[in-house]
Amino acid sequence: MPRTNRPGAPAAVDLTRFLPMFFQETEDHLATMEGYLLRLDLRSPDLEALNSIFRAAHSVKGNSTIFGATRLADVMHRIETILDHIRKEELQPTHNVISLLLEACDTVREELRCLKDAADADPTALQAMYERLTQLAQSDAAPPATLHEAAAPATRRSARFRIEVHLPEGKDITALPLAELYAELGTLGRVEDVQASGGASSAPALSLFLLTPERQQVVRAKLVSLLGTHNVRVERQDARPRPALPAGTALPARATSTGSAAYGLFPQEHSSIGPYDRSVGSVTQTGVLDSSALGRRSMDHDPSGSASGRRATDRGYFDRSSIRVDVAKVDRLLNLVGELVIAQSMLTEATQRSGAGQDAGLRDSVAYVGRQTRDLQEAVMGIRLLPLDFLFSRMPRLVRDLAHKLGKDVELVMHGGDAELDKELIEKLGDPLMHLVRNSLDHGIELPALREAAGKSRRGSIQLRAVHQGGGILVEVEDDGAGFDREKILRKAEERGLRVHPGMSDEEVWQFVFAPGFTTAEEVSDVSGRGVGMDVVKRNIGALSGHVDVRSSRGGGTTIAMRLPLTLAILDGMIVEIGGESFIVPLSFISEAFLPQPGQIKSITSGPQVVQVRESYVPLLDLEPLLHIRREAARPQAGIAIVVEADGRRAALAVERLLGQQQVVIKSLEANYRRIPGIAGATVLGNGRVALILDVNALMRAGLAPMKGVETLEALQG
Amino acid sequence: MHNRVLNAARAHMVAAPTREFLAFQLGDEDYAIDILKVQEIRVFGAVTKLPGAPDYIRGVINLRGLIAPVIDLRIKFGFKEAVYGPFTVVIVLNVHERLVAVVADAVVDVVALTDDEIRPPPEFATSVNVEYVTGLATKAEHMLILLDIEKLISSQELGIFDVEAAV
Repeated sequence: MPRTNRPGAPAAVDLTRFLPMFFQETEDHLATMEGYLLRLDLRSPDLEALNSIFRAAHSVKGNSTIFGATRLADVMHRIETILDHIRKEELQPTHNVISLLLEACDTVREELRCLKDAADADPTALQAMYERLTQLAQSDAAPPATLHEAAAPATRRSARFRIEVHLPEGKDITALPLAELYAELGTLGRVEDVQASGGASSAPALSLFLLTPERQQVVRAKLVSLLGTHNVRVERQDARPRPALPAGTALPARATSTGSAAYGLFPQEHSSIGPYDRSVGSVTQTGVLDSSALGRRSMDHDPSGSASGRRATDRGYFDRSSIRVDVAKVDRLLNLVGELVIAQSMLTEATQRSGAGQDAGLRDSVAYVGRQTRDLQEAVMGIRLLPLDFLFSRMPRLVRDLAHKLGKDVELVMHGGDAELDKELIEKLGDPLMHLVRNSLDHGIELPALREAAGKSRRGSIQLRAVHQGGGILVEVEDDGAGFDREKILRKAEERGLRVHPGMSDEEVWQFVFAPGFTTAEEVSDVSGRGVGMDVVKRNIGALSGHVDVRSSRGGGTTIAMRLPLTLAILDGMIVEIGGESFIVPLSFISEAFLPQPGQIKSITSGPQVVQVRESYVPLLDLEPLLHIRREAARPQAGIAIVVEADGRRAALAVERLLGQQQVVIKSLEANYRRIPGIAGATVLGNGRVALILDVNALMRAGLAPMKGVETLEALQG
Repeated sequence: MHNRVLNAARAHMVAAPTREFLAFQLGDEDYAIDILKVQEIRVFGAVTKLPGAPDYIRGVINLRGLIAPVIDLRIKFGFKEAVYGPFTVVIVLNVHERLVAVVADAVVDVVALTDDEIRPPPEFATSVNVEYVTGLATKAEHMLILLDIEKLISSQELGIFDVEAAV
């Protein structure tokens, strides 16, 4: 990647390549803030939680400053001020205060989105938010003399410590655990005037000031425990010194070569290269977002001030326990491991065939390689898995806002958020899940008064549950609301011209809610009720080869259960033989397989056949014409019937033989060829040969629905 | 083989205004295609049939985890017989960032041709396949038929790619 050095920014690193990371990290920090804000106990806020929110806000502020998004930084600064007031018990965190902070997160997020898309942000939104936050920040007793003064716990009887960290010969500042250090100091008090010497032997590698109410020993003990044998000096100071930094002072950001010039990443040239240009104080003076007056007001006041400390601090919050990797790289790895598995099974086969399998040593080695290869495959597949918390964590906010809006009192309980699922599935599950929660809130949970009248607690409950089950995962959304109204659904279904009869079972009646455009809501709200919901949920889940089930009882609530595979990259399949070729039938569709007795297969009007499965007759799909496979004369009739279920319908597939069950890696046919009707993809079997995966949904639609005018698979295409 | 072919190609790119072609046999005819489109050459092995595919698409093979279609141009061009023997190979082509394997009776050689050596193709009104012939050349007393393999493979007529994908 080419580096571009800006004029006036000697040795500056091109930060544009860190932009994606900035956006991602800021997103994460905002999510953290939201999470803690939502869980905050309003009566006695947990100090640790407040600190976490504070740290996240602080990181966003610092990062924004580095990337020249100073208006964001100002808003974050205001948030910090408010948090600090709460922390010092000068401000009561009421519902409204939390709401404002949450809203501020939204505003920041929106601003970020605009920056990311290089779209024009609405400057008034950020400005308005800034003003609202300012108002709140100033409405209490705290004296907000200057902006950074207000943010710091300086008004307490805090002492000022000068902290110096010396490094052994030959080490530079990158050897320090800066992230932990700043985090630790952040919990103690306020960090100021961070300076790094870049490893010149006599000067301290790092020096900073800490404003804290803690005692000297405490501060020292913390530092020593963190920095180990490093030479740490802690001095108590009383005056407040520090002129502007001398030009050329390196920042302790990450490496000393980072340089000190500001990075105005969002397009606008350096407008003010003043006397502080090379000092850390000028950080806020560049960047397009600086055009508003706020930027100046906040930081220019004290050029030697805490901007440097903050900035350094924020670079420290780097989640070292994880890395971000392009999914394409993971998929390539998965592909290679898949090939390795094949190569390994070929090796095993060859050893057995050649008679070398008699050699016990060799046999053991081959078996060992086999086990390791499979473990490797599992581990690589595991990379793509993410915990469901990624989705669950969005829900508290949704529930909170929506419940408030609807005047309902709802408690959200979540279990099993640590269950892991493929990244792609997580992404695609987001909308359906959100929709179901919204539905439960809007249609399920009753108003508090109604609940009371029905003898229930005023507070409704929505439960999100995830649990591993078999080879898949079960995600449930349960509410203790009104439940489905059978009569109403039947009435609506009849109005919409759907086939109903009073003898239908509840399960059958509930299926109507999945009909396109179906709604029982009397009026359309902006929450739900437009009838574009449950059918989409069902379709989306179906597209992920999952199933949706409904349980509901009048007055007792509704549970929607979604069963999904763990990943879309692999599936459990039954290898079957049709017309001499191997095909894979996804196991998730198969309910049973059996050898039909001659009397069990019957034809209707001497054409289509049905097979008797216990009490019912299931249509028998002859796959050979559907898949254009030439029928060979010697082939035995029917062979084995595999009963499959899709879209609530059943059919039996006639196959010649079952060859076994196997977990297969799904490969795309379209990558180098075209889509084939009735085929969902391909895979490579243990012998290195390609086998096609049947698209059971499409085959059933093609084979079962001639009345809709869809007679062939080709007709479904396009 | 892949490397040898590519190195030869690179060496010539600087040396002379010649282009390099991979010559291969289909039945009794010798064809030549742009070497830069060739990714590798492998022995013809097990092919998995594709439902509903035209007969000249033999099926798909596994190319180190990627699934690529196998085209038999002998069938497409209407040869009398298409036999698969020990010398039968598949030439794996990289066309518009897609992998497509083409069956050949044998690979003959890598030939370098200057523009002067390439004669214009004959103009027949009837045969569609001639459309993809860009020229004729003579090497070692054999006639080489130069094919625009990229155009042929991505043609709608062959129908290997979905229409929107075949640019």
